[in-house]
Amino acid sequence: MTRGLNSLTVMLADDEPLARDYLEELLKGMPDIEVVGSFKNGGEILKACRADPPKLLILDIEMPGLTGFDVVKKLQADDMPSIIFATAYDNYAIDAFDLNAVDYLLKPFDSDRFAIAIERARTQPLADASLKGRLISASRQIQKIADEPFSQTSDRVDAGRLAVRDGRETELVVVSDIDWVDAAGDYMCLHVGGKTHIMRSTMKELLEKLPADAFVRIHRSTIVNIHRVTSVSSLSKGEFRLQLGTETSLKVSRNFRKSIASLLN
Amino acid sequence: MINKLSEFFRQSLRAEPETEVTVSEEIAMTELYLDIEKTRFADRLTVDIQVADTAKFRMVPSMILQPLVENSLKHAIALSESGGHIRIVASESESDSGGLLLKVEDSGPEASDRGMRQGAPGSSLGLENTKARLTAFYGDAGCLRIEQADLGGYSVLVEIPAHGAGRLQ
Repeated sequence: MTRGLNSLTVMLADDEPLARDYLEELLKGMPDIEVVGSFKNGGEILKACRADPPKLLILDIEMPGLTGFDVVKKLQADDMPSIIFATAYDNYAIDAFDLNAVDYLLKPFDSDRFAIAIERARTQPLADASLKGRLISASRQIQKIADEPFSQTSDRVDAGRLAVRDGRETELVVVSDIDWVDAAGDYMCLHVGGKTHIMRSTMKELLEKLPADAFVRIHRSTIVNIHRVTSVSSLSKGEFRLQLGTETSLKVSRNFRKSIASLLN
Repeated sequence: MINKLSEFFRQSLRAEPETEVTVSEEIAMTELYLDIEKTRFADRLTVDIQVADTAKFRMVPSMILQPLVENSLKHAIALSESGGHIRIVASESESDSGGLLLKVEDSGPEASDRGMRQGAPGSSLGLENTKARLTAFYGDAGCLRIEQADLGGYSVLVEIPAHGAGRLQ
């Protein structure tokens, strides 16, 4: 199928069949919208989105397995579609969304409210680098995860392990187990196996703690463990896409393509 | 769907907290509630209901099952990508007391995994209310206990003195 120049590609996920039907029905009635996927949980939409990212994701938050928030955590900050949360959350959550300029639809919503959200997504510049940071701080406020102040000393590297403090819990992450890392506002997301750890840190601070021969920067906000890359494909405009196993694919910006030169020989 | 919703609301408004209904009536109400929830969960929710003939006309507090089923939906079905199973049983108690046993059990997650979720807002409120109602109705003769279910998850058992068999309300 040919996609119009202005056509907005959309994937949606909601665990309730009636909610999916309703969203699909609303989208069908709108011009220049192409629904490229409709999914019943977070895991499915994440997989599809990584394989062929659309311009917009409409995500229910409370889903079995991966929640809407979990899906966001696992997407590359430098390669984010626009996101609208559709949620039945209370006023407290709405405050967190408003505060962080996150688009949401409060269920139940009507077609007028829906049309406004879609129009906003259509006119937004894509790949807004601040989006993931805003989404994560909103989700942490809603889940009442307390952020401790930045600390220079606590996340020390000790015998190849990194102490990752997330709220009250501290987890020791083996540095060589880290697959990739991306920055989202005040947070760094460490992707380790299937898990994503979130810590308060800056890119610079974290890079200093990771061995430079393994961890290289491939985008403004993305670091990859070069040993985890299983294939490289070249995109247009001097960009590349890295495959990490079957699950993860990451975009390399042309400004950082030198980082992966060793992989291309 | 709208008919079922309005029927459920009508019945639940009619159901005074201090009234008793027959097991058959209580099961019918629970089925109505489950039918509504099935539109949310679709094929992720399967249910079986077993009512012993001897239990059908025993009396139970109205809406005693609904919060228990709601717990199972919330903790077992809603959290699982593939969904799960809920079993509702009404039978004569196996103990010597000769009481009536109501059981709501689900396919998981295991009780030990649910403990980690405790402390979340609203947790165990349904069970506390149910216990309080049983005490109000039957004093020490009514009890509620939780076991590991054969299905893999929680099993909530309510045991009350058998009464009202075959009696007209």
